[in-house]
Amino acid sequence: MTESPLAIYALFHLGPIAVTEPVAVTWGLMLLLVGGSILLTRRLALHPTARQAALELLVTTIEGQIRDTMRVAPARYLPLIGTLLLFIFFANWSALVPGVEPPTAHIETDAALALIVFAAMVYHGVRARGLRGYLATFAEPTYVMVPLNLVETITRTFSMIVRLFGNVMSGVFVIGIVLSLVGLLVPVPLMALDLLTGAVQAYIFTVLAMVFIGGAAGDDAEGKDNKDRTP
Amino acid sequence: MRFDWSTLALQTVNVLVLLWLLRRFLFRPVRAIIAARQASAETLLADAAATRAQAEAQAADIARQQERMAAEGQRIIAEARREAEAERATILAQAQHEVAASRDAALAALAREREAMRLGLEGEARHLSVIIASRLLGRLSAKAIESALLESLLRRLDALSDDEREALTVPGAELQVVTAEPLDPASRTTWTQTLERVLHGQHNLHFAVDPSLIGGVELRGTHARVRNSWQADLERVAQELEKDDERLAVA
Amino acid sequence: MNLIEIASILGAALAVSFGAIGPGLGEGRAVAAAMDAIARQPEAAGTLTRTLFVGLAMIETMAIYCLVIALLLLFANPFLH
Repeated sequence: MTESPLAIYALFHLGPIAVTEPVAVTWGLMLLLVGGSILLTRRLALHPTARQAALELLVTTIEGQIRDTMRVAPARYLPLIGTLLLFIFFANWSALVPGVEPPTAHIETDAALALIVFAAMVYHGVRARGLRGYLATFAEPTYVMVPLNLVETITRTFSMIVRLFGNVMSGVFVIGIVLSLVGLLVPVPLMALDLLTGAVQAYIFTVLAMVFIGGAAGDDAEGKDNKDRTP
Repeated sequence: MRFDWSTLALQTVNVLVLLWLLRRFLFRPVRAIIAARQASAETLLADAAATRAQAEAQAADIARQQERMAAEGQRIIAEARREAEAERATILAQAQHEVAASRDAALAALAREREAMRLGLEGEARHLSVIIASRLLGRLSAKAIESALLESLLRRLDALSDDEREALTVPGAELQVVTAEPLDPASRTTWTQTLERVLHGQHNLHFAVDPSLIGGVELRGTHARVRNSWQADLERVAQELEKDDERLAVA
Repeated sequence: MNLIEIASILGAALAVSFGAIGPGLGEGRAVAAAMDAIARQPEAAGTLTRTLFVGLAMIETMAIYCLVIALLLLFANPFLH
């Protein structure tokens, strides 16, 4: 019988707080991402080097995705969406490092991410429509739909959690089972599939976040900017 | 399954901190540099557009100026040409006028001179002929002259045709004999007899004197006259001369 | 092994197996439709592929739900304490 994939163990304790493995891995990822960002953005110039050009390509691609999906100017949403994408992507791919389990394979991390998306959804909805306006969206198309809309808001957040958690965790779990059975070369295709799944799930999570936030914010006039579209 | 709430809290905080850090260290600088590049590119484009517009304006200015200068040149050339034309026309007209005037003057002078010369020559010739005649006549005696004159007259009368003779001798008409000098009575009778013989019949003869005949005699009838005088000869000569002159002038 | 454990194992197996049927059929239809669309309009292949991946992941989520239920039954059964 293999070890439960749902179990979580504290590595050490900082005072009263138990620091679990996902938290430690997340810290490592944060260090990597922020350090890499500082390194890459240290010498930005008008005439870009190859690394700067790649970085700019990444940022403009995320902006383009936001623009295409949300139909608004991307500037306001870029940090959140970009951070979600980068963090989930690197978290999923952290399985490449031996002995490291992706933090997204534990439901607490996914819940934290979905919670942030939920908060952003409410925040942008209220900011764009006002409190009354945002609450009024739950009564669309009729007041009969209010309970259903409320349930939908909760369940879609919950489905985001379970989707990401299930995909990543199942990948880790399947690889663990295969590894315990064969151990050499056989898990490699499954690992590659796991990487693909991790990348796709990162993309899907951010797209869903964009769709939900964009739907909550609606076509707010100040954010709408078609002129900003790059050809 | 145990849901670890402390891990959830920690992860939420972690992601939020990561969000802030990435926003601070990644997205903001990259966005700033992209915006800066866009701004600089736009500035560059605007500069280029402005420069180009300026250059185009300058080119248009230059073209306009050239056009103006060309038009001015054309105008000046046309004006000069027109002036030259007018001047030429005036000069030509003046020259023509002058030439015509001088030619007219020359022609007139020539004609005048020729006339004068002709008159002078005529007069001289007449004078000379008179002198010659008078000299010749002076050498002859009066009788001889008269007889010679008579003879010549008779010869002329002989030479006359019948019609002419009849025209001259209309019966009963007066027949006048004009001489340059008066004839004495003896001569007159001789003349009368001779003429009556020649003209067959009695004629009412008169004798008259006309010095302009110079020498010779004329027989003047009512309808005809027989001229046998120096004057007539001279007139004939003069007419011949005039004819020659005309021929020369025509030639 | 008591009855609850047997029922849990059976339930997990049923959840995974039946939970794979529906998403399998759905994914097959989605891929077939996407192929058809790309054959008709090759220039829209990029957009279609992106949408297809998102859709497939959404459909696969159903199977993942079943897997999660099975795992819960196997490793985090609330009735086994």
